[in-house]
Amino acid sequence: MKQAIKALSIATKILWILIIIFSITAVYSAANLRVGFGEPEISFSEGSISLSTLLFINNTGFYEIADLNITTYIKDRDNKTVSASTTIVPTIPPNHNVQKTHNITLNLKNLTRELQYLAFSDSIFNMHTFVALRFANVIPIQMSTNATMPWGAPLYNFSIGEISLNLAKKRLVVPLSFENHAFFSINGTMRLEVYNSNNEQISIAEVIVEVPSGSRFENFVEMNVDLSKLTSEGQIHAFFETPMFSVGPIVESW
Amino acid sequence: MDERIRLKTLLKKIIPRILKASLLAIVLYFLLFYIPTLMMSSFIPSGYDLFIDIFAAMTIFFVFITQLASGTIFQYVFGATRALAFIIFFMQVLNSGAVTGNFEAISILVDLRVFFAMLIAIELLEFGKNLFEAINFLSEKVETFHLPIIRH
Repeated sequence: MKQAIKALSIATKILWILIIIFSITAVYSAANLRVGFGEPEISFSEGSISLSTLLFINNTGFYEIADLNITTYIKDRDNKTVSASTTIVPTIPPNHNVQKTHNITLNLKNLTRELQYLAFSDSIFNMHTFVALRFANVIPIQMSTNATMPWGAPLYNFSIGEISLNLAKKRLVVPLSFENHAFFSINGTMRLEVYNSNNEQISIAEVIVEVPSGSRFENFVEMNVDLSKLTSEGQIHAFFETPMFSVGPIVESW
Repeated sequence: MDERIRLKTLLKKIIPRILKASLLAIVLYFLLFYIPTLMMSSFIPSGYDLFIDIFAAMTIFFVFITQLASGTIFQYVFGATRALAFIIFFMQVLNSGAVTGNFEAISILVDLRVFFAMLIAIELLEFGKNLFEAINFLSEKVETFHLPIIRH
């Protein structure tokens, strides 16, 4: 009996000592963890925008940080996921530092195709960032934060004005206007297709559009038209093709 | 006369125990309650203050009462009760196993299930140890009681 009591006493004492040492060193290690972020950089590539943030982690503690996972979700006003970006750091051993870039990519081509309203209306994106890691291999930690990001529509307030007919030149004059609220410039083409009431294409035109960020576009597009096929009612289909995004058809009836 | 001697003996036994128990309680109060509250109050997530207060109160109470009952069977009874009380307490805290808090705009969730499981395992060992000690104490009492008196 006495041996059993002695063994239990020793076991509990050892376990208490271990747990106290672990608690103190874990708190000390967590307090000595240095985390920093670099200046975010925005880059544009074919149809997408990337926001890159450099992440520095200096683990000066006693324990390893494992399975570090940083995930950023960007959601639109209807809570639909617009972008999901993940960065994984498998392990940060004690007394090591790690530099990793977290890239948040927004594919504008897909975005304006799937959520066309974003091409015409300003909005606010919700950015949810989750960080998960395993501290000292036994304590899972999760952190999350929310932020908002304004979205400026590249074709804000797009409108086709009153269409007029220049009988002398046999041309349709189509007034067009919009504002580029996006943080990137629009450099591309706009194609207009005119259909009569029988759904026959009676005219087509393509114009180069160059609108810097924050500027207004206001122009008249003159289109040759076959007067014999012109009807009192019809439709105009507008298509935008830029390296950043593609939108269309925007249908307007007259 | 006998009564006075018995009372004197009892006081001689009790007073040092009360003093020792009080001293331990005061030391533990500073170690478990005063210093952590003073130093780490900003780190303790709101909503967990109560758990820390209960933990400190339970520890101080059981240390005091166990010290007071030292040398009796109640020392082990209180020891076992303390272990059970802490198991229940840790299970209550464990609940989902996660401790949550907010630091400015960041929500933090720390999963301490493994840590609490270790504490529960230690308390189970403490409970078993106290049971053995109580049995050992009783058996020693019985052996002393039945010990034959040898006269020379």
